[in-house]
Amino acid sequence: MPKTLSIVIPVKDGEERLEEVLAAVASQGPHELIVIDSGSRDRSREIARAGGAELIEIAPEEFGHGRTRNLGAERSSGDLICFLTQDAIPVNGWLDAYREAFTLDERAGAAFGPHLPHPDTSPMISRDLTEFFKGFAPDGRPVLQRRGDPTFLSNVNACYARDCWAELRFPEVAYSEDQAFGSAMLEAGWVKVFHPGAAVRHAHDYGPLDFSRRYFDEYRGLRETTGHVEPLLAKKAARELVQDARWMREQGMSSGTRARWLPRAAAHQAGRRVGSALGARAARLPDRLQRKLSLEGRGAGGSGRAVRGSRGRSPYEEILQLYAKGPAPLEEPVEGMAERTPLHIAVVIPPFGKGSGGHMTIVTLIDRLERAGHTCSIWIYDPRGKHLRQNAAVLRRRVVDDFVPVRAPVYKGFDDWHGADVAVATGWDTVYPVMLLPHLRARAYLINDHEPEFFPTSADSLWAAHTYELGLYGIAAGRWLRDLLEQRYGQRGGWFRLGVDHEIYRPGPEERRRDTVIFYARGFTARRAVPLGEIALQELQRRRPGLRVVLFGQEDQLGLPFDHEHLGVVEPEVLARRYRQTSAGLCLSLTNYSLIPQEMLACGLPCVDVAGGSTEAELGRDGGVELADPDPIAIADALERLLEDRDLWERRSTSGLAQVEEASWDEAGRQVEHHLREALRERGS
Amino acid sequence: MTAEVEQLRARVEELERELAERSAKAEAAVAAAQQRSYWADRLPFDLNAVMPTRAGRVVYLVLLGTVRALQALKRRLL
Repeated sequence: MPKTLSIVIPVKDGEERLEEVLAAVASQGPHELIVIDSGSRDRSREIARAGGAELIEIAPEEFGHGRTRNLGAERSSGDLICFLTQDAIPVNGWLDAYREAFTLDERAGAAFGPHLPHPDTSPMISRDLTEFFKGFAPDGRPVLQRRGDPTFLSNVNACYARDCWAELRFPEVAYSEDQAFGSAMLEAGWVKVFHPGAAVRHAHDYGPLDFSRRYFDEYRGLRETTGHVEPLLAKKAARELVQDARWMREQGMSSGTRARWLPRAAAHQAGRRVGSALGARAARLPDRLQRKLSLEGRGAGGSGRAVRGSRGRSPYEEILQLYAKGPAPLEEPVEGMAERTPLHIAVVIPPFGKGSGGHMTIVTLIDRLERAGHTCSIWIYDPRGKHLRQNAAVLRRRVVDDFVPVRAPVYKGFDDWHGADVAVATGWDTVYPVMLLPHLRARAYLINDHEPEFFPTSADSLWAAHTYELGLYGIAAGRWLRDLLEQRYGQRGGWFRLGVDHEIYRPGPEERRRDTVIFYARGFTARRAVPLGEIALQELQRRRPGLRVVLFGQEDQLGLPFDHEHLGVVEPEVLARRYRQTSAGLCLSLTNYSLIPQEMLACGLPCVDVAGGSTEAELGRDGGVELADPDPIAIADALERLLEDRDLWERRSTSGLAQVEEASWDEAGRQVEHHLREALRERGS
Repeated sequence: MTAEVEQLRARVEELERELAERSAKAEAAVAAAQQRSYWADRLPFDLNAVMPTRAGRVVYLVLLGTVRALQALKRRLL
């Protein structure tokens, strides 16, 4: 049974030749004729209707070379789908040639035919077209092209088997969707047919400048779809010019006519070389320049531009891997593994900076685990390359110098991963690599804070929240955080109390200076509500002009509108001495409580924090912390109470000391050790 | 049967102990190596790239000798 053939012609402002095209098509008896108009402002639609075509109208912004042709193919019903442009006029026998082409091989997926020049086409274009297409079939017979053969295919005049189109479809690229299809179909094992009889009259005869711009578009499209980079070869332009002269002679043109055409031919060939070389490198050009160089007026935006990937490692690699492949399986449990000493504990930490309280907690706990006889190793997960230029030995020294002298080695990344009894994630983003680590008996999660609150609504906040649902045994800093994780995420686990180093943070003989407030102002840690503390202190200083304010927690100055002393990040001993010389502390936390209020209390220094949060849950209302609503006046009032009311100050100071007396890192270490064993026990049960 | 199970348990126990000892030694060795190589690793260039060439070795050793001599001089004078 002969194959039915649908013709699809995308049109926009194509009245010049459309009537002629439709008449030539209709005379060859197609099964179906579809015109897709994308916002013509001329008579194209009327011509299409009058020519007996089914008219599909789309908005101009919906047009895409690939997208619109896919639409045409979807809306057509023929076994073969033939695409023409609005200015390609089929010659006699065109449709029969296509029918024949698809009988030449059962895997024939597409066919194309030559573009013949119009009688008035310039000699350069005429030669170009004629010689180009003659190259496909020098003996004038149809040619089958398979994988490895030229991939050229042009939707000016091409025909597709529906099966082949349906398998591959046109890519939605700005240009050269046909070239991309030609390449893909041969790769997929389809056969492409060039049939010299399936010819159309079609030539774009622009002036040299417009021709150059057209080549810019064409080679930009080629680069985007096939990656082809056209070199700028002056010699090639000269060779083409010689060929043009030869062609003109062979066509019997007089010497006068030839002399008239040759300068234009020279400009044409030079413009062509420049346009195609620039088009192939368009991605490097600014958008405005691309628009100027493009005949279509297309810049880098709009239809999109090809952007080379960085080829670097994505910082989200492990997240993708976990979602795609799931966690690495844990080792089979071994009897009694939870009770042994030493345990081999691998602690995975995020990149760090001096003064990070979270890292201080982690490294102090590692120290206590080592003192309990366990073997620890520290693994830095640094997907954004914060420590790119520092190798493991240097990072280890920083851990030892900036935090606590531990015995553990430090590894950067997981290239040397060699397994452990338990891997401990310590920040939300470290959870993902920990889930992928093999040769483990259990995984645990040391949780210093409720990290989704560190981010605005974002992928980060989602992924951070998800870490509590991945089945790791959670070890939370404090009961408040433990309850939150259990209630909100159903995470199982335990908690530990943040410790205090009583060797450093203790009452001392220093004399306290009246009217002095020390403020933890780590401005880049948003949850520390530094702006709130800042305006509270501004208010307090307005009330008490002699007030002395001391800031610590970050090296950069905050640029506050009132006089103050900026300590920066200081050694714990220095900080403890300053706590002992001060009359009130200000340390705000909008999420979990931290080391600082406890350390202030251990120095006999009462402090102010916001009510209703974790500090209140952990340290109560009657202890060393004066609680205030999170508004600047209430905080200023609370600080003023501590500065004014001697009895209140004494009461808070004494009960604060009593509160933290029991808080020690030895105890915190024991609690964490217990929970790590619990994580292993769970595996064994 | 019970004896065999007990024997296997004891063997597992022994292997576990060995593994723990080896892990402890390996981690301690890495930490010690990191401790020793700290100054070399802090240099703003890669010693592994410099030392294989004769010129690199000479320049490095001359520089090292100079630094050491200056340090010794400083100790003597101060």
